[in-house]
Amino acid sequence: MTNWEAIKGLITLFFLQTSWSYAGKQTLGFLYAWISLTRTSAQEKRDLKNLVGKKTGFNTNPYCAGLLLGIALNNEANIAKEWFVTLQHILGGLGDEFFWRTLRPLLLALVTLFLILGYYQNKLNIYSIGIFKFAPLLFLIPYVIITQRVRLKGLIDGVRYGQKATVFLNELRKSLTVLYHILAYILGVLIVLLPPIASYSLSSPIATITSGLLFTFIVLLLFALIFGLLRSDRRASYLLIAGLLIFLIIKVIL
Amino acid sequence: MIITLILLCLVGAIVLLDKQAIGEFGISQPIIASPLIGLIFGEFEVGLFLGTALQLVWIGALPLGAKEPTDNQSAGVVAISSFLLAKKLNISVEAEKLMFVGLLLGSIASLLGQFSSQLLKRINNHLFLKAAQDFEDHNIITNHLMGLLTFFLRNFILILFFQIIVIAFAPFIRLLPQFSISELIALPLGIGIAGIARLVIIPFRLALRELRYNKQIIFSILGMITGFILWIIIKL
Repeated sequence: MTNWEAIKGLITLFFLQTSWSYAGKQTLGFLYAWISLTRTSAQEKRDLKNLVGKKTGFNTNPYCAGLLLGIALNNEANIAKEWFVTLQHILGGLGDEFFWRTLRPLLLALVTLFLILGYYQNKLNIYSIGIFKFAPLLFLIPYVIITQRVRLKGLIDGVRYGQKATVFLNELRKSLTVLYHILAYILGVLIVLLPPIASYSLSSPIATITSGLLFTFIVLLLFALIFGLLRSDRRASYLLIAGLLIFLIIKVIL
Repeated sequence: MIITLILLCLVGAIVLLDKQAIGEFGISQPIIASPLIGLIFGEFEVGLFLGTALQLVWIGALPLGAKEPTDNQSAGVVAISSFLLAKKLNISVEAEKLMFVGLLLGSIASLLGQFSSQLLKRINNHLFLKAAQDFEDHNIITNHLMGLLTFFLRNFILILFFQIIVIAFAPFIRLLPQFSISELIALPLGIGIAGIARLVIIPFRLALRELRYNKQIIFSILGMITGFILWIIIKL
């Protein structure tokens, strides 16, 4: 695979989910990428369309699809359909866990908390938070580098090594374990720093031990209440809408 | 005002393509999209604030498998677009009142965005079924890239809907009570931190069951030690 073909492959993978649908999921996206990268015989096309046809379909984590595309480009004729579908699901599960549940929320949470720290440091004057305003790039740059590296490396390894490229799964699994450790570490820091940050942010510094304990109890109680309510992500929307409206009514009344 | 309205819908619809139709680079996340649109229309700091306020609220909304989570991307774009249009219509009104409107409409957009995404994926079924008739190359390419148009239109219409609401309620915005920034950020921040805890604690609770060889505990204890050290440093 030439460099130009690799770049072309990466660009076509950007459009993997463009026409995502319940009926076909990423199938058209996968076939579109494949068509864009190969000049093959009618027979080879039929082989691939059997592999990723109307019934089987194609669906995996969008950043991990490069590996599957590479493997299909390498030896699309002799891949067992069941093996290919199983690999999609494994990559889907592992990829979702790594990108959607761990890497993205972790980066977003850290950057957002960092920005909020910046706001409080500048007495909530949103028009002068200095260097903190570049914080969003602390999410965007690493996230784009990591996701596009996985896409491109998967594609190149798949084309080069064919079905043996699945050792790539191990690399992803180990990275996920490292992310879990980072998550656990940050949880420890947050557990300790949450009460004092909350007290500082609501500008009611802890004067005595009893007020400190009372304040911590209230913060944790409020926390547990929201924590319990957040069982589904839609409830976060309901909570925010209801909370803003109740807050508005209280402001109007008082 | 019409030009601003159309420009806001166009820019917002293009930024939201990153949600799924092109690349998924993360540009459509509120913490990026809101300041980006704010920058384009001259209100970068407000965009950054609205993006920061909304980013954590749906931190636990995960697109696992075929599940359609609440649409935090549209929430961020609608929040800043609503602020910008409301400001255009109410130049003299305090910015905090306009931000409150942005936060409220953004949180409603998260639900409408989820619903419209599910509807869009049912509409895209037709694209797939047309291509799957013969799976000919040109058929695949045409129907697949048509997905760009359907996704763009979905974004455009969603933002336009909320802009019309802003226009309809513009005269009443000045009647809102005055808010402070800490009041505006308190509720989303509370929900957001609980959302982070849910996201972190659930796998952690699973890990606790395998206490025998679990390393996460060690890393959490290290984190707590770091937290205490940081607290002492801050206190000194």
